[in-house]
Formats: sequence, C-alpha cells, structure tokens
Amino acid sequence: MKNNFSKALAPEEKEDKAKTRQEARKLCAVILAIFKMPFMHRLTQSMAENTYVRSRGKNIIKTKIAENTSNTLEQQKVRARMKLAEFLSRVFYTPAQVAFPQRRRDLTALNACVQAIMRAITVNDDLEATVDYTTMQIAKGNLAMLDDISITLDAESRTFTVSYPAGDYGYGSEPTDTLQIVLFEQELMRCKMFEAGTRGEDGNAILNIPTKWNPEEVLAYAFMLSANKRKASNSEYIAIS
Amino acid sequence: MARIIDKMASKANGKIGKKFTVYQRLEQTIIRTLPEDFQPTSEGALAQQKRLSGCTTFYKAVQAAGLSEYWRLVEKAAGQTGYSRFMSANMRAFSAQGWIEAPEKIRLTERAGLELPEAITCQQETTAEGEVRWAVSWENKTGYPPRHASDRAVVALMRGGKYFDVKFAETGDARREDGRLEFVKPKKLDDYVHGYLLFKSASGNQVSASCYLGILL
Repeated sequence: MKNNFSKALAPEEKEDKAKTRQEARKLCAVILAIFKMPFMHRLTQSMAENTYVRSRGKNIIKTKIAENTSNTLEQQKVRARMKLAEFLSRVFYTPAQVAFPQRRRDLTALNACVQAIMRAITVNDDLEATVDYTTMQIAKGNLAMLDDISITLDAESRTFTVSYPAGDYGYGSEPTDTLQIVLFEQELMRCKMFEAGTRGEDGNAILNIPTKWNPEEVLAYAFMLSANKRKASNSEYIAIS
Repeated sequence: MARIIDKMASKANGKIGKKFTVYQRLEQTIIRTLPEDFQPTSEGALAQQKRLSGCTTFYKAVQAAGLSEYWRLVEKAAGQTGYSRFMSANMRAFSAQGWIEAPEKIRLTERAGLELPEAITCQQETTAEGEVRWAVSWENKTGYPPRHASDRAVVALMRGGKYFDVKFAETGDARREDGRLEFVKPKKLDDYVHGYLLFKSASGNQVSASCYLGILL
C-alpha cells in the first residue's frame, strides 16, 4: 500500500541516511549465545535479525552483520590454506572414506580429511599455498603402525613392490589388521588405494599404476585399518626407492 | 539410578526422550538420567580407557593361544563371563598407556580344577656344549586337593610392554610327577623374556593357575 505520510527525501539526504544506517550496523557487536530449548533443539538458518547454527552439538544464535569486513592478512592466509586443503581432500576422496573411522560424530570423512591435511599446508605473505607432502596425513586413528615398510619401483614394468615384516598382538595391533597403501600422482593429482596384506603375515605385494601416471611423480602413503574397519592408524609417508 | 519393579516394564530397553535411558542388568530393569552436557574426559578416565583397550587386545592374544576357554571354567560371580573374569584379573597389570607394565601380575590362566605344585623355581643353566637352557623345578608335597601325576607342565613366554602375543616353549612331555622340566629358548624367541608356568590335565579339560617364573634373559 502506498505510504502517503512519508516525506520525500532528496537524493543527498537518502545517501546520508543509508551511510548512517550502515555505520550503525558496523558498530553493533555480533551477539553470540548458546541456548537450550526443549522443543526446538535443532534450529538452523535464520529468522529476522538472527541466525541459528549448530556447532559441536550445541545450538548457537548470532545476530546478522551488514557486511563481512574480516579480511586481514592472517584471515586471507587461513582461507588460502582451507581452499587447498578442500581441494586435496577431494583428490584423496576414496581413502578418506575409510581412513577416519574414529573421527568426531559431527564431522564427515571429508571434514576430517581437511583437518588432517591443513597442518601440512603453509601460506606465505603473497598468499601462495604450498604442501609438504612428506608430513601430510591422510589417515588418523590409534592403531599401531607397522615398522619397516619398504616400497620399491620397477620403472620397466611400472610396478611398485611393497614388503614388510609380520607383526602380532599388541597395544593397537592385531594380526587381522590390513595394510592400506595410497599411491598419489602429484602431477595429475590422482590417487589410488590398495590393500597390501595383513599384519599377521610377512607382506610382499605388487601394485600396478594406470598407464597415464608418471611413476617418477608418484608418492606413497601407508596406514593400517582394522578388520572391521572401525579403527585406523595415523598415515605415514613412505619414501619410494 | 533406580530400579523399576513392574511386570509391564520387565523387558523395557532404550531411551525415553532425551532425558532417560532404560536397560536390563542382572535380570533387573534399571532407569537412569542421561547426561546433559559433554564433560571432558578426566586423565584417570582416559587412562582406564587405555587399560581396557589394551587388556581387550590381550584377551584376543590369549584366545589365539588357546587359553581363553579355561576362563569359562573358572569360578565366577553372578553375571560374570569368562571374558569379564579375565579382564578383572589382568587389568591391574596394565599401565595408563595401555601397555603391560607389571608382567608379574599377568594371569594367563586361573585355577580351574588343578592346583600348582609347591616350591616352583626357575634357573639358568649352561650345557656342556655351551648352550643356555632354563630349568624349572617344583615339589609335589601335598596330595590334597587331588593332583594327578600325569598333568602336563606348560611354559608360556611373553615380551611384555606393548606386545601381547603368547608363545609356548618346547618342554617335551614334562609331567607333574617329573618334578622338573628344561627348555631352550630358540633364537626367534630371544625377546620373549617373561616366563609363566601352568599345568593342564591329561584330558585338557582342567588347568591350574599360571605362575610367573621371572625374567628369562
């Protein structure tokens, strides 16, 4: 319905009013509160000036802001790290589905993969992100890792041979645990996961890579998975000889 | 925690809303409130979780060695299984890390029909060829409760620490009536320094408690 009672504003006055409103919003503190309500215990999205989110099992209410002014260098660096970590988590999508079985319940497998990969990414002041593949983790858990895993490359047949000595029962260790090897082609950004054997037997497995892969660009990671796939170990980078 | 004494609730099991949980224990129906907030786990609780985890894996190792069956034959409290009896006997041998820190407290078997002999000793000997062997001797003094001369003596070896696997030494056909057995540790069992002696009946249905022999270096 047409408002017949408002005074028509001149363009400069309109602009001034908008600027004042904007500045007032910027000055408002973002109110953050945790709340509990018995009948609305999983609220999400927004209503009026408030947004409802759930984080770590708690309901959180926040007021909306007019514009996002958070863009310091530190924040930009975190965003750059996050972007690369998210990209890499999709490269390692297949192993991520099984490599984080003991993650927090509210995390997806990809969330957990991003968390693990973020630690290996550094960003300089020019916002260039680099990954240290030798310290990057693609699996997390409390199973014990096998000792003395070696991987050798046969360049002629384009195969990798994995060998390791057998283990036995111990803390975080059962003979039925399986050894998983993830080969990562860093040029094509592709990966492939193989089951190389069980902990209880001496291992000697031969792994074949796709024809498009360059064997010299392949990196290898290893982690253990329990027989029921409910436990995993931390992954280890294995240098290929 | 409260008990429900009501025939209608005799088989109840599960959650009621977000406040209560109902479950069965020892043929009783128990109701208790659920915690509202997440409390960070204390150090003591974390240590106990690791002990439990380590002891559970140790039970699997004992199962693989063929000794877990005897825990079902042991005298137990109401509601206890062989597994829970094993856990209560062995948890105290584990450290807060979940490793075996007190191998002398390990019970591979508990008395299930047989008694140990008296004055058990274990000594290192060197043969004429310079080979190191271990001699375990005991005395058969008392005749009650009944002990059978044909009971077989078994020596089990373990590494301790974070390793839980159990191996058996070659003792030949040593019997209780012999009063002595000798064995040589093969090269592959050099790291297995903790020895345990136990007796099995000739039929294999009964077993004695295990006895820690010491560190066999």
